[in-house]
Amino acid sequence: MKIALCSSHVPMARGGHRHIVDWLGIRLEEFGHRVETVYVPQIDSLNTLFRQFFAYRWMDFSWADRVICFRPSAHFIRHDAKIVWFIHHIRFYYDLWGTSFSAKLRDPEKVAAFRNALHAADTAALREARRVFAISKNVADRLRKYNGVESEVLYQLLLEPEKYHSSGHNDEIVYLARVHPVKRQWLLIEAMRHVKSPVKLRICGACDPEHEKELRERIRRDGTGDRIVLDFRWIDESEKLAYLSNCLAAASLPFDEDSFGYVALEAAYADKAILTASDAGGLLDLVWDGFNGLVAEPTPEALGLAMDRLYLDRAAAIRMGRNNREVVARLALSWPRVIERLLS
Amino acid sequence: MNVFIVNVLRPYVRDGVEGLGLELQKRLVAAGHDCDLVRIPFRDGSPAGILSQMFLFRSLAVGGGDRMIALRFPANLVPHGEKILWLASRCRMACGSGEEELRRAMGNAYGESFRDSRKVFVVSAAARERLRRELGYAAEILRPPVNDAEAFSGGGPGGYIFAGGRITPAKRLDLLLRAMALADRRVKLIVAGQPDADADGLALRALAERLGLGERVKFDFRFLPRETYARYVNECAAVAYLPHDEDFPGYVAMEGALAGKGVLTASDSGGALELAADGETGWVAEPNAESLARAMNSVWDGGSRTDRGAAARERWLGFGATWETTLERLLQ
Repeated sequence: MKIALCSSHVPMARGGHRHIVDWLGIRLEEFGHRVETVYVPQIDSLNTLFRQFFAYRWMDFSWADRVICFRPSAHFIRHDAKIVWFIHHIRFYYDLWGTSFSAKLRDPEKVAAFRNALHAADTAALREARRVFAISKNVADRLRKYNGVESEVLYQLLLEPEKYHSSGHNDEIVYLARVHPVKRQWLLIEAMRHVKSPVKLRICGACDPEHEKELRERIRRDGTGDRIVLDFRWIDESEKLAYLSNCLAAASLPFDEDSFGYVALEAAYADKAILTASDAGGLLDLVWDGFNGLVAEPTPEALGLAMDRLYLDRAAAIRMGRNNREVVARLALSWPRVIERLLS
Repeated sequence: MNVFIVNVLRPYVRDGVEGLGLELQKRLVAAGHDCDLVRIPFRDGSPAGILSQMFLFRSLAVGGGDRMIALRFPANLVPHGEKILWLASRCRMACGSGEEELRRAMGNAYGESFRDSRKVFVVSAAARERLRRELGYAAEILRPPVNDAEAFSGGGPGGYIFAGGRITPAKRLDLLLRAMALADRRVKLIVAGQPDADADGLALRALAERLGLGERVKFDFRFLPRETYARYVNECAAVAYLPHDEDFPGYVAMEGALAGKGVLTASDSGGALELAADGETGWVAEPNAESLARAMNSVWDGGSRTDRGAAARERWLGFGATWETTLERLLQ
């Protein structure tokens, strides 16, 4: 089949979400389909969003047998065989509306009117789809609650999961992700103050200089520098594989994320127990507390306790790591299945 | 700098401008810039469709970024504060009488994009002349560089004419085959590249058979590995590129010239004529089989191949089209 993959894209951003699209494209071509991928630059600002919707409406995809849309507002595309694999809403106007995340609004009436219009437009566009899939249970819940749209949960996959493996368990818990306040490496660093066992923490990922300063300052004040390894740079695939294969366990505890994300998924395939927090959102679809990892309250004390637990009961950590295989099987994380669902 | 490159996407077509966009992105990144290559679907078939798609491109928000480089219509319509046009391909302006309105709309849109841009470049003297004639605008010439110049070191005088590149009717390869039927038996031809559609390749094979060309023509229809392609160029007698009125000079013509091979083209081919000065750097025929056959015969006249090949190489080098100077001029 001729398949078009279309997603919006924040200009200059290198996001995990591009993997969802690009890796699907690679696998679809292996299955014999002809794929074209279109990334449309989009700025999620009130004044330009509706105009950008029109751009999608006028885009010609008539040459494709199927169009699969990902990040909003790609779902505005017009096509008889439109399939939506919904990654997330523009959350400012949905579940984050009215919370402390909403910036001070200069013109609340205008923005509220816009929000209503956006809900109506999104709903109408989603209703046109032949099928709607959601990247996680959270996202499926929001689609139902805000747009009245039923969706099937379809999780993201790794391109080459077989590359991940475990070669042993040392004494470090690793957090291999972009270092950013929303990813909450800072919380894990604070938790080290409460850790009583010799467990160590390794943080690897690109980081803003501002935030780096804050983290180093925190470590200095807590005196935990001897037990935390900081590596503020983007690490490549082979390094990531090595750290994962040797670690005691892996952590991923972003705040309220839409999906479980690649960081946790990589850890799962590396047969390592995953440490996360109860408010991490989509992570909870993948991490089953006590089975293939630990879900702690998002406080330094609770996380410190969880890290100690992983160190002191090594056998349990190893067992939980291996249990990831069952989780992966039960979540049906396989490319043939994903492709079958998308093209059914 | 943060640089956007905006191109159009024609489904499953990988043409010269597509290659140019990819190479430009590679070079920008290698030079330390951040670069997003944006490709938006565009169908240039129906006039009605063109207008709505012009709206589409005007509605895109390519925000931020220090520069935006648009490679063809209607990408030049995408709004941006620091826009550079490097128009590498033409949109055939509607010229039927019923499409006067569309022509006017497109002309206006082009004009607006010229006013909104820091710089307006085209890829050949032919393109510059056409823009001046059709829209009264004087663009600057910025010729696309050869991407891997080291590969085209040249070689002996060669026993075949090489027609390499995208295989599609617009390249008029059928004309070349008809000319082969009228040319001397010693004239040989290699046609190589990826067909847009299987049918395109099959049609050429069928034509060659009907014309009884036999072993004189060799077809190599696939995406060629770079070394194979370079070898075809380096070992040929001359390169052939004869589309109808194209802005782009054609990679095979540029690479052939660099490799010291004369360029065979037609008098109405457009950009390639810069490289093929008849009698000096190549052979220019009228766009019919008889004239082309005569030109192909003369490729084997005396030292013609080597003389014109050397002159073609000098001409190409004289243009000074390198990626270094290209980036400099685009980003100044």
